Amino acid sequence: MQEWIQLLIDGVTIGGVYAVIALGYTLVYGVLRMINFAHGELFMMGAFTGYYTLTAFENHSNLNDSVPVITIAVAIAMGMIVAVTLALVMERIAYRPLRRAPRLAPLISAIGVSIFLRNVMLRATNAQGKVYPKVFPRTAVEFGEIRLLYVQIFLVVLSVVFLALLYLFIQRTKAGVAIRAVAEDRDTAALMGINVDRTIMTTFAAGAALAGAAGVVYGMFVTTATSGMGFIPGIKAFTAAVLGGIGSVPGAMAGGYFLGISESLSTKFFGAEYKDVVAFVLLVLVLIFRPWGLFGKREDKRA
Amino acid sequence: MANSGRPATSLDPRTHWASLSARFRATPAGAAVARWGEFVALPLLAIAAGLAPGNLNTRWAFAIIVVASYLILRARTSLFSIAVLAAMLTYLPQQMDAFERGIMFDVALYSLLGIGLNVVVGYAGLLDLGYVAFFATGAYLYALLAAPEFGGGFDVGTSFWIVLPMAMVLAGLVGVALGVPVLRLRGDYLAIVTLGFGEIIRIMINNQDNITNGPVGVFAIPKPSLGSTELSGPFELYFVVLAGCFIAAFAAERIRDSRVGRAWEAIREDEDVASAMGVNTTSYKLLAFAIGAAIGGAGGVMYSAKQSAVFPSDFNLDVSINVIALVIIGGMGNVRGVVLGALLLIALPEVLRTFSIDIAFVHLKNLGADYRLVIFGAALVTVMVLRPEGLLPSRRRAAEFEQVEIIESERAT
Amino acid sequence: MAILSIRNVGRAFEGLIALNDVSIEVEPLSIVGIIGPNGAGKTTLFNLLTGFYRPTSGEVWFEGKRIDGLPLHRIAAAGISRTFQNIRLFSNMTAIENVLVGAHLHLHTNVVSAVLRPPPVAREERSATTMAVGLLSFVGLAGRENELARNLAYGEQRRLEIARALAVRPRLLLLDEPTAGMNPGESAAMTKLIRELRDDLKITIVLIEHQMRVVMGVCEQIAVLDHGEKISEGKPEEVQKDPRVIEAYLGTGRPLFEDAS
Repeated sequence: MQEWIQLLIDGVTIGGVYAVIALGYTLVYGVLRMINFAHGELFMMGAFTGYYTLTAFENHSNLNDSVPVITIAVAIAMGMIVAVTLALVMERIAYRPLRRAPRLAPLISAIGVSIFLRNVMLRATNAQGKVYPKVFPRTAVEFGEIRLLYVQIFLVVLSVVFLALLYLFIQRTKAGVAIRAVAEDRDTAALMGINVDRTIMTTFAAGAALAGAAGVVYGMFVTTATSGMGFIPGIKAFTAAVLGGIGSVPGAMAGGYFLGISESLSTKFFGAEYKDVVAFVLLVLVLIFRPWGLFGKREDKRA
Repeated sequence: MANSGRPATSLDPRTHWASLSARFRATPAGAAVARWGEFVALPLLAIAAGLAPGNLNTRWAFAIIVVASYLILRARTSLFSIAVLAAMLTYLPQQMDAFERGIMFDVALYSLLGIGLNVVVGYAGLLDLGYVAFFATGAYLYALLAAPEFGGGFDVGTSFWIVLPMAMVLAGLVGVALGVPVLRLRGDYLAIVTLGFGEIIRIMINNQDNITNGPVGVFAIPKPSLGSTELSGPFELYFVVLAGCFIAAFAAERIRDSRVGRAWEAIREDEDVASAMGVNTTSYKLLAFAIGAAIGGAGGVMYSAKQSAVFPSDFNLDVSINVIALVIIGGMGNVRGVVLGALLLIALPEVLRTFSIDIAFVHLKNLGADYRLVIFGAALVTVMVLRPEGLLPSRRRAAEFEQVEIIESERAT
Repeated sequence: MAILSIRNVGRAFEGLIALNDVSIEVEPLSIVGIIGPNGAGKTTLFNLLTGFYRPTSGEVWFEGKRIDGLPLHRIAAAGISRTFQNIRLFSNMTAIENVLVGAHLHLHTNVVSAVLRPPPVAREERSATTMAVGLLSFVGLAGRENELARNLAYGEQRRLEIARALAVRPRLLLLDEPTAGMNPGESAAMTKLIRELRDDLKITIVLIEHQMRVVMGVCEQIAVLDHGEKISEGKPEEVQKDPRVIEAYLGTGRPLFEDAS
């Protein structure tokens, strides 16, 4: 029994991460009808930013020991800034020119960006993972055999906070309304006076900020940043977004947690090696039997 | 098709580029560059390759191959040009050292894979990012059947030539099996799902220890023989692959120029209308998958034979990415583009393996070896933004992208 | 016996009933027109007949066999083909290639024979090409065979679509607004072509049209749809005078077809 709870907790933890990353996918898909293949790399860059920031604090001050809350907050902020900057550059150079190109083109461009970022970091780190300095205490709460690291709790809580913030942003702010309008009908939104380019940039920025922040905290959780750490989670987060209904914000959240928990529980049946396969299999099943996901609308496009 | 009155997004580089390049090409200098530029640039590139450190003779041979291949590929295909190409590709590698012969094998193998993937992506328009699955199928089939520990009882000498068609059939079936669930999916979804399939195959190969020997791999794979000669080195096998390329290219182009190819093209243009005109789109898409897969499987068998040991880690996503990149950058829908892509993306990095440059204060060593993928990624983006039809597109693809450019430049004015 | 029998057909989307209990019988070798105000469900009906949608109720029978719910290519194989309201040609293929795709069902080259290209295959390609050139000529596109479809003029594109549909060798041809965007001269030419299709090629024709001159001129039987329901049916003269039809178009009892003679 205790094992199940542990698996459940781990599932919720990673599920929150998937949910946060999935939001970025779903938002960009909503406004551009395009899968930003390189989104996972923003998560990875966030993690590295966290590493570099905390290491800088570590090497040049003792703030990590005295006011970890501040250094962590700065690290998260830096992660968001770097991710957002990257995303905006990406959008400008690799995606915007291809807005009217055949659908294959932006996808391949995104793949190129993903390859580029991953391998730049691979070279920059000389293929070695970067270990975070110990800032967040590695202590845990324990109930019998169930172990819950404090940093894990932080990650879970932060994920929920970000999801809530983004939801409010989309629903209540003017920018959020603009995003929803452009996602619904780009041309009409433009005719209503919405600056489509700026809205798209905001969309990228929002998703990137979340992914970057999640990267920092996730990095602290797993203590290491590697150049490949964004790729598979990125694909899984995309799966989560599709599960929930691509284009749907609540769908992405639900999908993220659903995937995280399923994946975690599946290790009990299939072993840890097949964990990644679970996500792919779910993706294929959803796309075949219910392509509009849990929260999406059934599309009857034909003539 | 005319400007729909949409407010122009003035910062759109695509329109900017379209009108810029159109205006540039209108000038006499620009026209000359557009017409002859590639003839100048490519030889320079080849010379640079030739000057890379190494044995001078063999580097020049290599450089000549690159240039001549390009010029031949660019020209109208005729029996004469193919004969010249074949002769060159047969004679020159004999002047090379072992390292370069190895490169030529890789180029030929990736060309073959590219020709196969081109059927799926270029002709039928299905973006498959998991092509490595078929390659792995063929490779493992030969490995498991021929290596003494596993297949045992086969006569080592002939088994290669028997396994080859078997692998093509098996890979074709795998192609159909993978194709059935993904047929209804649209472009981006199809890409991700096929990518997933490729990864699933690799993970399964890695973990089904009882069948595939898991991560340890399969080794002591015997070499094939032709009559009484054993084809022992990458060089002999290179010729097998080369022959395979010519055959596959011939078959693929014949199919493209037939009723089957027309059906594929109609499906690419407007799938529902093609269906309404009587084309069984499901069957034809599966057919494309199967043919592409069969060619991939054939490549796998040849790879296995050359390597003499295979591991699951050989069949990772990078292979799929390499193949799709060379098809796209080289020029979609077009065998010549594929070959050019293989030369540029496979051969060039190997030749520039130890090449180093200094950018500002950064010293980048071993450009070809270590920075290959970095350049790859940048190249993909660049090609998509500046020349999405690839370097040597088929006439058809060039027309399709021209249409986009015309719309774009109308919009910009 | 009717060649096409539309029986109580209905089609609903989420919250919208596009077609409701529509029944129409089409006699062989007749030219039937489907008219009605915009949004009446005419194109939906065509989409239903050709397999783009399934009916949510009712049945469609063609030459004594049930065809609703069949996949598109099977409906084409049964002998039905169509043109589209907003011209859906294969734009980056040439005119003749478009027509050859239409002939797909009647050619037999498969993968193996494509590679080997034995004499029968070469012969078949040649005769298919001859046939396609003939069809293009029939619709008035002689000499334009190797033009890219998207480079053709609007009227030529409409005619190319018909040529492509004819290559399927249908016994029933559905034309969706064949004269849309045409001036009276072009419409008259199209009308003449439609009559030739029936007279010379022995094809039953059902067409959706808005131009009353064309409808009155060429249709022998008319069905009127409004808001997804059939509100009238009969010979052109009868339908012209039907008050329900007049009301559907104009809302009052004013004479409708002033320019049709």
